[in-house]
Amino acid sequence: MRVASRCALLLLGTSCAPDPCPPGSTRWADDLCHLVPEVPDPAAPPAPDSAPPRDTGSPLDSGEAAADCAPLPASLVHGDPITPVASVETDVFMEYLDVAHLGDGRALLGANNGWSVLDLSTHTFSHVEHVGARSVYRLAADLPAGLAYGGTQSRALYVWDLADDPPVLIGEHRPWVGWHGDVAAAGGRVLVAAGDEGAFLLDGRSGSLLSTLAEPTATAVALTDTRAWVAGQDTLALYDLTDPTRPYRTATLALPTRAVDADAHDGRLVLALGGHGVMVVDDLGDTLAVAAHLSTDGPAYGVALDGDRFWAATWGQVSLGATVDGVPQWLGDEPAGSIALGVDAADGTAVVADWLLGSVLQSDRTRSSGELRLPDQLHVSSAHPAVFSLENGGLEALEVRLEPTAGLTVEPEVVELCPGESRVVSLDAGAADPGVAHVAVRSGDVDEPEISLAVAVGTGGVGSVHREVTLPAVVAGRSETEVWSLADHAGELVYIAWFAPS
Amino acid sequence: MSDAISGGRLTAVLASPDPEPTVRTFLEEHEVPMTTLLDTGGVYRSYDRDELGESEAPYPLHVVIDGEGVVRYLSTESDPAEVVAELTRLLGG
Repeated sequence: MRVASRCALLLLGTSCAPDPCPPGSTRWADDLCHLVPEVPDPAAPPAPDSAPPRDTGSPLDSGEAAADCAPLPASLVHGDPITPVASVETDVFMEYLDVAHLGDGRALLGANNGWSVLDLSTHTFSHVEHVGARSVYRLAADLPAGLAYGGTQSRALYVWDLADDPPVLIGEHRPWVGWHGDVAAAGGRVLVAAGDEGAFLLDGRSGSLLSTLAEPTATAVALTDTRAWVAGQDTLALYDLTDPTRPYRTATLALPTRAVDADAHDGRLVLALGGHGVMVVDDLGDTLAVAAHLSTDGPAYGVALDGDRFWAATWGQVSLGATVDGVPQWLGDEPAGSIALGVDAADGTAVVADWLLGSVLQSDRTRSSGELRLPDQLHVSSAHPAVFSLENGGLEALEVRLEPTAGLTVEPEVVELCPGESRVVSLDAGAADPGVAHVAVRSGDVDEPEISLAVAVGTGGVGSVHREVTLPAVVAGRSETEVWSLADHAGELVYIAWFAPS
Repeated sequence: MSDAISGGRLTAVLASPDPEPTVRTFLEEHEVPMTTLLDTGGVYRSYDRDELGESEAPYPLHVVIDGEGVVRYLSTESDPAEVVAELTRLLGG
């Protein structure tokens, strides 16, 4: 993800903001970090047939279609497994990154610029703490201990006492120097992923260092009373914490990429692996077993376990999974209210750190259907065809019909997708005018039976003739807009700088 | 900018997809004297994103068009020195 520069008002001499944005976002000219979806490269060739999609990150095409799709498992009924309950915005501008379900009708949300408390009965923010650019990047709660912790990446670890309402910030722990990522809490202890320093196990209340889990890298962690899970750049390690001052590693597992979030319960771990989806791992005593490696509709930034359910926040979607016929599988996705970056869940209810929103979702783990996954939008050039992928992330077959607007052609126009399958569709915009066109996508997806896929057709590359542009213009000292036309400036060098008026 | 570039005829304008009142308020509060295009039609989307990379943001976006109407510079990175150098080169300075 490219970090765009910060000085849109080039001509005005606006200064640059040097701080990097969180993963998956880019700093715009308003000096705030804005989320930018990961759009597949439309010029990229289709991937060759690959391993079954449920064992891969996100293949473009899973190969030949099965003659007959497997039916919906007998333990499930056709329907939508996720019901959106509420998406709530605060009166002040907050950018939520992670959430901890407090199990008492409240959720604590961490933000780029503070933290908030969401009342899960009224679906309102009961408390908003705006503290400027002091981000709470990751949250963890130890409910029996009555404490919650906020990882800040570059500063101390915040500690809240949950007995009060709102929770009171009672201290900051930092018995280390340098960056930290994910945090986890259980048994009166807190585990901090500290990059190449490994993971630090602290006493939750005092902050004293109990032990260091010396992994080459630690980026995502999970903790139970007796186990510590430490995931890094390419390895997952499980530690026994019977004596927390002398943890010992019991098993390891190779990972395909860096983990960004983790949650564990009863010998099961769920890992967010960004663009590599979600991995479910079981502790078998002296070894770790991959129960499932599931692709996601977007990069997985946050995960949560809730009994046999598991959730993932994947940018544009929130995904719900459960163990079906003994195998962890997705039941379905729900479009995010804004941008889903973090999730926590309890008793079937998920709370999502939804960038500008706090969102609440209710699950029904007895339901599933076909779940169509496709890009949010496409940017294509009229100079050459592009491709995009359709995937069925649910547990029922889907028939997908594609109807492009004038100037666009797609091939094929009808796609059959068994559960877990993906297919490449080619898109030719050679006859389309510059601007935004659409492809109407109709399918048996129960919560999104019709989607309008926006296709931005660009022709204005370097070396091409710029299209004629006539726009209203605000001119200094005049109350009415005037008409500005590129044609009126023929023979001149014209410089146009788009900026954010904020 | 005018101090930095000489040697030819240059028209420099700002552009924004935001509503007119928002743009006017900003320009007045910051005493910006420049003509600002109201890109309500999304001209910013018409550039070839193969060249611009994956950013979909309407800003920052910098476009330089020569006297023949040909796009000569396109970037979603704000690099004042680079833009000035490119304008100077195209103006023959």
